[in-house]
Amino acid sequence: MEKAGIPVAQVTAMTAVAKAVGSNRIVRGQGIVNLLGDSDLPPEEEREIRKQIVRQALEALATDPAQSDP
Amino acid sequence: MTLTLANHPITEFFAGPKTLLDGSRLQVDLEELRRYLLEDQRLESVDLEIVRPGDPCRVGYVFDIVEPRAKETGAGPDFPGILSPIAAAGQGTTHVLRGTAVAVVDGGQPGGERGYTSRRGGVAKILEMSGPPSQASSFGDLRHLVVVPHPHPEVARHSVLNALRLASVKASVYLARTAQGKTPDSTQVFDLDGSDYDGRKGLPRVAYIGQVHGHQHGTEVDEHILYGGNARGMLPVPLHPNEWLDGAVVVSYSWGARGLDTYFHQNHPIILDLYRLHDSKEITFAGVVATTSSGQLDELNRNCMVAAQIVKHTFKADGVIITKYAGGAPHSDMFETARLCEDLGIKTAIMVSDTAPDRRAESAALMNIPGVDAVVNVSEAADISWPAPAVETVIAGNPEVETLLADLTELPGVSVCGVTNNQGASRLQSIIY
Repeated sequence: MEKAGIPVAQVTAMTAVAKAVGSNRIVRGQGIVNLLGDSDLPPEEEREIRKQIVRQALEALATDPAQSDP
Repeated sequence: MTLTLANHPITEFFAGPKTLLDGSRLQVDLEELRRYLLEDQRLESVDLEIVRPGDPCRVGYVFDIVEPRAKETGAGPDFPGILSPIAAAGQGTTHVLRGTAVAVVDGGQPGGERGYTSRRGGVAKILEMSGPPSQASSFGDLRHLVVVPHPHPEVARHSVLNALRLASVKASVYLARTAQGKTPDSTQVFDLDGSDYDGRKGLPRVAYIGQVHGHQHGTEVDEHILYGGNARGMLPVPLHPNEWLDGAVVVSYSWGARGLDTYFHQNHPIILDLYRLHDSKEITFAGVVATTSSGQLDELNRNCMVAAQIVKHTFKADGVIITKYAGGAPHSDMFETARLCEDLGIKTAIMVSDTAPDRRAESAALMNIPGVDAVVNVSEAADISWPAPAVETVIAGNPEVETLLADLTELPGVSVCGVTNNQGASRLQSIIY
């Protein structure tokens, strides 16, 4: 997708794998089971985490991978 | 800590009016066993069948396969934390009915969840008793008591799984208690505390780190994994290898995930081999660590660090072997633990399995970490399959699965119990030529 000109941000709980496969923009998710949320938290608190991770992914899209260390 | 396995090879296994062991002939009163299993009020009924090597028979879907074992009277607990109160496993005499197994089938519930669709880890497993798949399986030449528990429809799924686990260990111990007080055909003694310390000077100290669960699949509240506990929040824990062999560890409900059976905790290929090399004074078996793979990065880093520290500073190991539990994500934990061990100066070998079916060696390793260069691929048999042997009998958990299994034309290796195993128990070896 990157080669086709589409910037990609990969949200993952296992960042080492993403690094190993050469992913350009790696955003750390909460966990494997609930990547964007945390089912142990009350819904309102979880919502904040969800927003935070998605926002981080959007911000990552706006970065130039050549200029930053993932 | 000394564990003595009293081996009773079984050459005949059949139903009869009384449960007893006569030499190598094992007779079981199926009605008595059924009544015992049905003491669990969650079960409505239980089907019991005996299948033998070569029988044109297919069994599915398999919950777990357990070797029948029972402690000698007064020698200690059977499956502590599940069947017996918590007490240390791994000492005293355990009777083993060699050549037999208890295979428990998960059929789900009528109108409720089906075992094969809600299975964590994704692969529904079959026990095949004839033809090439059975010859490729470690379970093909065993005599199996097949246990098919049928839970009441209203029982919650987690409790159904708990009932299957309980049935598996109850049936195992029930059968092996026939050997109590009987003279075994042979014995194996497992003891690391020999008096010959001087004779071990200069031998490399080798440890084992084994994942006993992968948290990427979640964990049921009443799931039994280590001493009856469900391993949630578990840090790596040093065990005596005898505990591992003697009922402290059973497979979690992610059993279908690519080659995991309690049988190979009881007959753990790495622990047994390290013991063999210890006894022949090629190495000193330094100890074992039970750990889990993690669902979160902090947990991963914490667990990997603690496991490496135990192996380095508690076991003072020179070398370590690491195995994973189930699928792809646990490779991350294994590689990171290996990296930390190598950084601490411990030579490390890991056992991966290819999660890709494209038969390319490059696909097999999910990761590539400099320094982690002793990598053994134990395979998931994703690239092997056989034409399904003709069968006369299908033992299934429900009619839907029975039809499905009867109509199979092909058996992928990944779905046949005992073809591959995370800990390396396999009859197949790939050769590049």
